[in-house]
Amino acid sequence: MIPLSYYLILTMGLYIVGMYCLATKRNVVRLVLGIEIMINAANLNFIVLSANWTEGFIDPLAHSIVMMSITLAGCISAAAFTIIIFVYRHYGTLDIRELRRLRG
Amino acid sequence: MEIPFVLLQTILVPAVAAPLVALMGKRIGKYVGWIASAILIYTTSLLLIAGSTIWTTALPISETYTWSAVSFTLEFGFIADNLSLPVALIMNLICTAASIYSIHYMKHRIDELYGEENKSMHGLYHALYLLFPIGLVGVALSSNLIAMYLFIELVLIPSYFLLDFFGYRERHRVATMYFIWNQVAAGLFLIGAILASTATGGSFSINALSTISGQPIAFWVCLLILVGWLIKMAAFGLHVWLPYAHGEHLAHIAAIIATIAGLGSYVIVRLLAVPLAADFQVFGLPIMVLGLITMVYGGLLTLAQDDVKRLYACSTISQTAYSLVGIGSLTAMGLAGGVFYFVSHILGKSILLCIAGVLMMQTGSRDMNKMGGLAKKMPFTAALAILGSMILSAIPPLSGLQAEWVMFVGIFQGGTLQGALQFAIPVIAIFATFLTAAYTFWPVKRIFFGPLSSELEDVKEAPKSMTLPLFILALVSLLFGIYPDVVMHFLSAFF
Amino acid sequence: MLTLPLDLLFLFAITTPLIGWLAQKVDLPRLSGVYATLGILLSAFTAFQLLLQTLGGVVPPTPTSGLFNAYFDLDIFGSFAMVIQIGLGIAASIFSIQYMRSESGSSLYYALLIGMIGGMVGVVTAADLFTLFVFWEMMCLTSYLLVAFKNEEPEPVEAGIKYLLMSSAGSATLLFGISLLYGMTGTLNFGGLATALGHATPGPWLYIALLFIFTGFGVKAAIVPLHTWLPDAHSAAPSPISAMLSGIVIETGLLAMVRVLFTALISLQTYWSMVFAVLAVITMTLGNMTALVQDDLKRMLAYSSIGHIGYMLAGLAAGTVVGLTGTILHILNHALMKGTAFLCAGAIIYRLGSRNLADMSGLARRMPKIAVAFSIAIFALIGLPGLNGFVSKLTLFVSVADVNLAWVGIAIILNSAISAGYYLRIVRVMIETESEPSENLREAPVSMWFPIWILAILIITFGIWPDLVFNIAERAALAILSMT
Repeated sequence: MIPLSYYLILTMGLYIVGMYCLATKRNVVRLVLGIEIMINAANLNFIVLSANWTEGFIDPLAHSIVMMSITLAGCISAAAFTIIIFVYRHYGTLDIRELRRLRG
Repeated sequence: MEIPFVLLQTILVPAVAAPLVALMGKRIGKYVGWIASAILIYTTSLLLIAGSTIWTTALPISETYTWSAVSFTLEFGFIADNLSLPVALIMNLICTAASIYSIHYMKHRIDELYGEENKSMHGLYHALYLLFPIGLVGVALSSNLIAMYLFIELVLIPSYFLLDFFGYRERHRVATMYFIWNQVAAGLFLIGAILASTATGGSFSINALSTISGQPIAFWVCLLILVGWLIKMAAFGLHVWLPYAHGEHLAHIAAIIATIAGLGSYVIVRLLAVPLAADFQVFGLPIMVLGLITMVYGGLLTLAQDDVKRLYACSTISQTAYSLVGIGSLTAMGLAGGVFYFVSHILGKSILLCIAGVLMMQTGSRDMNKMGGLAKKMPFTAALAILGSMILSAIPPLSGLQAEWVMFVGIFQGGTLQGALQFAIPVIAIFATFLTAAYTFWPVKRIFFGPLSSELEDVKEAPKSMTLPLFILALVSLLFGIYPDVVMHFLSAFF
Repeated sequence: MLTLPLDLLFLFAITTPLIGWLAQKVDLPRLSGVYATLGILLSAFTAFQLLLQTLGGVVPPTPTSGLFNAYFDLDIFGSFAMVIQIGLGIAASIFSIQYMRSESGSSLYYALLIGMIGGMVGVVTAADLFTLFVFWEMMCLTSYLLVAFKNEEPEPVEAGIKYLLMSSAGSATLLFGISLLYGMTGTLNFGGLATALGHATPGPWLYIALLFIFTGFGVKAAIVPLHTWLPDAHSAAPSPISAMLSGIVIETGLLAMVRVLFTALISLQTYWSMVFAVLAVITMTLGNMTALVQDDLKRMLAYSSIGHIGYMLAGLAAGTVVGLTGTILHILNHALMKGTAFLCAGAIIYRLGSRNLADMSGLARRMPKIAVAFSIAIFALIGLPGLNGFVSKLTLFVSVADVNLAWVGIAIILNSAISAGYYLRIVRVMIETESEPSENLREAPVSMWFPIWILAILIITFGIWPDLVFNIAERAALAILSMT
């Protein structure tokens, strides 16, 4: 059996990938994808840890949580893309660095 | 005579009346000033009655009302004893006199700024003005540090708004500067108060202050409260705001601001010099030296002024420092003298600042170089100016001399006990008082005597409603000068 | 029943668009706003009754079967926060009736507003972390859309996308932290977390979980350095929404954080209280300093909210009953003060069409009702005694002084003095007499000044009789501390 820590390193890695994407990418759509990666890292974490508690028992709570969480992630991306469409209409670009009417 | 809730009434009646005054002003314009003044006359007589009770029974009157009692106790406590009552009474009297004085003065100023038809401004002015006596009397009477902080802040609101609405020249900028300086001062006071309360076990009462005496925290409490009030007293180095605030404020409000500055000496005596006497000891000499520097500096600054209002403003810096020297001696007579001098000084300073207002109103100028020979045109005003100057420069039979006498006796007592430096300071201080005579009488001569310039041919005497209240203040000062016992009976019973 | 306010909110959130469609048919543009306000009022009424019940010691019955079984739990803390949230919602909703009248699709706006309130109510009443997270996302999602609601202008859209990116990254971080807590204990119930982690010696994973959860909530609560989205979002949103965001949404972040900190992470208290003390001072100083240089009224108020978050953090740093009482009380007071301030700003912008402070000179003569209420709110924000802000700041100071963090308290007072500098600028501009006020300025309509004045009167009432709410705040604090 693969030890738990390998899975945790994987999820942590995914989270960091998402964070890196947020920090470096310019395209707004890619930023939203970065957030999705972060959420998926957390989801994966739930699944991994659900089997950790009792030998041979998988906690259904975590699975129901992940179901809900995936739905929420879908909502977030829906809302994000709605706003992104308006961003494109107003600014004609998807580059986050070009959005700088607000400052101070 | 027993009046129920006599202390609460003095605070609450003007507070309740203020919004009504603001509303009535919309209808009756400047006449609302008489209503406001009548209210203040009522509270003054309440305090007089309380004073007569204390005089005969020698027992303090105290009232306590709980404000909040959940996590820690917040109270409104009022105490009228031998120290607080005379101070409160005189301040209320000055507020009353200035209120009557201001009816005509404000009509002139509002007409000038907002036009003749603007009635609601009168209501606004008198409503805001009513907050001054509440705050001042509140600070004097509160027996609780949080209540005292509340009243300190309460005074700030009307002084900010009145300066911004009705002040002179650069009033907006000065108003903000004034507010922030005083906010910082009040903040330091609050920090000190809360530190004290953590050491006394959550009590904000002034009586409980003495329990922290001797603990290391007492030093910080003393320091914070002291610095907070030194800002308000405009001690040397912390005085930047005062000439501006005085110069741009309305004349009689400047008198009230001078009163606030002087009130510092009362608060220091009340909170620090008496309950925390042992911890306050270390501050004695620094305060005296600071007082002396401020005295001389303020005096020289005053001599350099050409502007009538700034002149008396700068003299406030010097005069409040006298009280500091008295308090710094830490003897009973010195403390009593410090408070007595404060009372006497604000009587004189109110008269002089109000006279400056009269001059500005009647001649339309603030520059002393353009004045001269006005005594023939304005005999009452000239007489008042001389009386005021006599109070400040301690010429008998007015109260200034008696106050300085008590104070210097106290300081020399302290000097003989403590050492040569404490002895040298009052000697220099006495010489410094000669400056006062110079800077008070020299302008009187420049303004009221000498040849009358041709531009001032048609200057008229100020109306009676402006000069009479000032005469009453002068009479009170004369009373204290001839019978200093009126004040000293109270003060000597306290110390 | 426990979920009654929540049920009502959901019912009205779903039906408001239908009413909006109907309103278009019969040409009554304000109908959906009135309907939505009615719904929030009903919900507030039930919430208030629940508060009275919990104060009386009765635990309101939770539904014993069905979907929501045991995922909600109501204590005094939750019910008090709920009343604040729904109460401020009423004011914002009444204000919006006139403010959003000309917007197309205003019924969707109300649906989102009610949804946001529902999300916040769920956050404070949730009994386990995942329920909390679901409602948290609901609150966040609706608030993104509300910030970007005026999508015909570029600024709200830009602020909306920035807010969304930052805040949902925060939410993802939060979810990651929650999963770690789950991994350590196998449960997400607050009670279970408290028993499992409350008294154990903290392991290294707990520190990591603390970091993740703190970051997740901290983004929403705008704790420096996670505050960068706030000024944009708060100034670009419609004013009633700014009032909600500043007044209660960011505070809900703190409330949720309190729940987790005092149950799952209580064993690290010595550690996080020190971090909070430092962050409190940084947050309040940076918020107030930046506010000093703003020219945009709403931006200035937004930065001042950051400053106030700093004051609230000070109470958490103390971590005692007094400290928590101060924080909860300040959340209530800040909701009233900042609610009034942003609604006043909204009324001014509605008439003037500009957010620039310089254009507002002399408006006190044209809009006296708004100007007086605004001044009351501003003096309360400065912390002048006699108004409600003073009492809670005093409580916060006393609490930090009690636990030997007096330097935080001194920072609070000095910051209050500094903040007077920019708050007074607003008052000064309003009462300025030199220049003639702009022609557009007239007194705001009654549906705008009425909610403003309700809030302003509450500011004065709670300033003069703090014990009306002080008691409840203290019992709410005790409820939190008794969770472990």
